[in-house]
Amino acid sequence: MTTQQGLLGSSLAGFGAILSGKSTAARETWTWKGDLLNVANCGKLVAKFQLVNVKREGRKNIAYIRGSIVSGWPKQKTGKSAPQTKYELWYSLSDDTPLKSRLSYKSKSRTSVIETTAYWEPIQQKAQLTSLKRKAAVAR
Amino acid sequence: MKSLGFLLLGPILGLSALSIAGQSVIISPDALALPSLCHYDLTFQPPADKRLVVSYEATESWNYVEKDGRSGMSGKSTKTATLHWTFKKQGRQSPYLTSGRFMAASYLGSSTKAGKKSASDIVWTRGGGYEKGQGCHTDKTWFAGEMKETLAFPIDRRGEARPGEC
Repeated sequence: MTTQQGLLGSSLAGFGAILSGKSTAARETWTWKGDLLNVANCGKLVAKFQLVNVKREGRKNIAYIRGSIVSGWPKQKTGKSAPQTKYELWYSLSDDTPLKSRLSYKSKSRTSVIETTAYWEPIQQKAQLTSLKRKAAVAR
Repeated sequence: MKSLGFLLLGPILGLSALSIAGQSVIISPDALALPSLCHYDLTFQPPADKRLVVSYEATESWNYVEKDGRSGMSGKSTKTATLHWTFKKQGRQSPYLTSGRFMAASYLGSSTKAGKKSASDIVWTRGGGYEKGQGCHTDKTWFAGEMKETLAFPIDRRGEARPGEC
């Protein structure tokens, strides 16, 4: 069971879309280590995640993942002054879509709540566009 | 997710494990009744012919106090954005690289610093850049940079961090 850290890390920072190379059972926890670029001098952060449950909604299987940063803040941010984070992600296993995420962050001087929603949209390929343009030109 | 069908079929077929497309799927005998015993593959496999449309909203408040006890800086803000993300395979540690494109973004905020109040009310749109509003946060690059850091790939890179964010 492996976790490729690079993309999983992004889930800490609000978008929470990507779990790379992760196979897990419901209620299982795993650890992530890394840095967050948008948090200055934050050392080596350690976060714990859990696949809380998987529920069927309509035709989709939705995984609910929860996590928080548990340690690794720099010295001046440890103890009682360590920021509190809570991360939640609703991820569709049926079509690899990060449906919704929520990150709350609270330190003694700052609070932040970041929410995202997402869906897939087809990309019109260049060839398709060219074909459409040709058809339009012919129609004229 | 291909493996889920097998997860559900597995108990019916009396199978304990299946290997599908190189991935080993562990199946509990009572997977249907108790999904918590199933193993789920959470690998993110973005389709190459689609982009992810992401809506983002952040609300923040801050209150930094100076050591002398006087209030240093306080304020609140709401940031919104719509982005298009596309993905491609890059490597093992970072298998997918995303490119994010802002379609729209806004910043609404007010702050007080050293007794001086300021407010920002900014909207950006695709291609048009800065559209309307006023305030100190008129630098789209700053805003885009911050949001990309938040949304995209915050690790494996250092620098560019804004002091005081912790």
